[in-house]
Amino acid sequence: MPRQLFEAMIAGSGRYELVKSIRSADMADLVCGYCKVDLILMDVLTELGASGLSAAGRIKRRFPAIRIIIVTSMPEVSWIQRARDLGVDSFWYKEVNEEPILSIMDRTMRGEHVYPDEAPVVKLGDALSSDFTDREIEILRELITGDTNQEIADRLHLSLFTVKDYIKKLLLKTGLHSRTELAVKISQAGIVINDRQLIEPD
Amino acid sequence: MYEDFNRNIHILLYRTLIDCPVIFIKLCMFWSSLLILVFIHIGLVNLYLRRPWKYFLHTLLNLLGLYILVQGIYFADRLRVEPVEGYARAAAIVFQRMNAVVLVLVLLLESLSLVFYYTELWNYVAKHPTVRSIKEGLDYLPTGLLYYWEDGALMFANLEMDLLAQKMLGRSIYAVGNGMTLEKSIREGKLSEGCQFMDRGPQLTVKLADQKVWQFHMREFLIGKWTVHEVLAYDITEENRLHEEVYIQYGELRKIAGRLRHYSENMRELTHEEEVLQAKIQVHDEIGRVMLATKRYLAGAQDAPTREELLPLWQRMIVLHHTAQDPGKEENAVRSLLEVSELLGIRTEISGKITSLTPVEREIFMMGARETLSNACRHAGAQHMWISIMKEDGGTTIKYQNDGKVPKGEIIEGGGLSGLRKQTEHAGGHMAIATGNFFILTIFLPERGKTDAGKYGSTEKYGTVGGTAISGPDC
Repeated sequence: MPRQLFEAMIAGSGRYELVKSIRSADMADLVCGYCKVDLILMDVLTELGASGLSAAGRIKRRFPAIRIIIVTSMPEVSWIQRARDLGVDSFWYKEVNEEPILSIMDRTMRGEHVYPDEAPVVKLGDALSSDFTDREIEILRELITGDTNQEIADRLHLSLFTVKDYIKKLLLKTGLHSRTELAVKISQAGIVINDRQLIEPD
Repeated sequence: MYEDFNRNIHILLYRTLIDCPVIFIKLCMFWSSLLILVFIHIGLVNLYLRRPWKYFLHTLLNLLGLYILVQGIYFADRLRVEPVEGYARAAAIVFQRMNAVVLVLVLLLESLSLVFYYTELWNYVAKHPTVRSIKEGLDYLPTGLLYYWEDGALMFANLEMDLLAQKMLGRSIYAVGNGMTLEKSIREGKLSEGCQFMDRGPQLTVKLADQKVWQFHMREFLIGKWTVHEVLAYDITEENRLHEEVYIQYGELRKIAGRLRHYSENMRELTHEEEVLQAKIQVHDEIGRVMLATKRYLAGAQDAPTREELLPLWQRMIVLHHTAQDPGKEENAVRSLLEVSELLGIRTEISGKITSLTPVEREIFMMGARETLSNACRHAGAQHMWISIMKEDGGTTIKYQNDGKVPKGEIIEGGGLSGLRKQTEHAGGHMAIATGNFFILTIFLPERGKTDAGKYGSTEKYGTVGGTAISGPDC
């Protein structure tokens, strides 16, 4: 759902007033500092590669009273938990969630935290995204960086043999033929997305 | 007859040398001499094999005994035909009385002992390699061996090393005569045509004209108080071929990894663009439905929507029409910044292309824009801001400048600026703040794989400059 549709929906709701609609999440906390904002509908992947989750974290630290709903269509498995950890109030899947966004907004403003039980399940080769363990997801996330097995092992504090073993198991699980194919398919499916280029702030 | 036989045996048993026929005497002398020669041979073999002295002593004793025996028989025989004097006479008298049978038995015993000596020698040689056999073995090793003294004089070179010297230097190692010459020639590249020195680390590696690759390992060690130099040559042709194959494959893998990394880094944008594209497709379909509904209304069809039902659809379609227009990535990027700076009351001008930045550079750029916009608005009361992006050799320079109040004294970096500095330095770059006529924040980010060599001075964070505006009027 593009931003303009959200704008039209809010304008037509009768109970919400649009303060500002911006393209890049990186600028959201600036707007919050300048305008009176009660609720933010924040996409995760925004213009200029800005991460809505990072922006939500900054806003929650500076303006804890502002309620935030993360909206996304990507089935990335870690976002729900990350959003919870950052204190985001609600989470909405654009394509999958049957409840309309206005209802989610109303419930969030009433103090509810509306979260889906899990990310949408996506098929990857012979496996489903729900079949992967947390560690396997971690390995998949490292695979899409294009780094060598040794670099992945160093980063995750594992042995090289363990990393290779995980990759072998993932290939067996998915029925794919090579780690490159696995990395590309994972990226295309959106099960893991590398949305953190920079180091995490203290 | 029995008595005759007994008598003959008796005569035989008690016959002394003086009674023996000449032919018998001569035969014994010949036999003894033969035994002497054989024992000399055994002695020399023991000497050659460098066996313990006791073996040589045994041989010597036997030789001595046989020599005395031969001499005695000779003089005993001479005494029969002419007088002899001195020790010869004494020896002759002794040996004349020697029993013939005893003499034959002694000679037989000596002959049998030869069998024992030769058997023992044969077993020894079978179990212990000789110098020659060691040399032969080393000559046929596939490894080249060379040993030389401190001054370069050759100690030992096997056949393989000699062949290598001929291929590399054009002459035999023995013609070269000096072990150090071989090493020096390889290091200095003074090799025959077609031979090529390959730089493969501390070991000397040479590719010969026949495309075989040899690696030379050098070391020195002590034997007693003398220093000996050792050179071992290994044929690593197959290993070299595999190494080159692996090197090429590794290069291909790094390229694939680079493409994968690039794909992953751009995945966020690609995903976002895909979302927008999907939305546009949806919008297009919706526009189609509205047009069809309008057509039915205009045609007065039975199931046509009413005017009141059509109006909100058209309003929605107008909104969607704006969505369908895509001014392009760069303009979208610029608008992302401008829409917020306008809200804050700051007029911002951007030079350079935001879309030319890599994902990491873009994140740092946006972080810098956020911080400088925020500070310009909250603390400096700025009305204009200039941002420039310059791609240079080795990296990218981003400058943020505003016309707001310049802070006096030392700038204390708050959470935002210190976070920005941390991210910049983590990316291998450098950040500097200059205050003068204008506040200027400069970030330099090196190209991936290169680190910043302190372009702005590693210890100086701040400096006062003339504050020339990047663009725009002098303030």
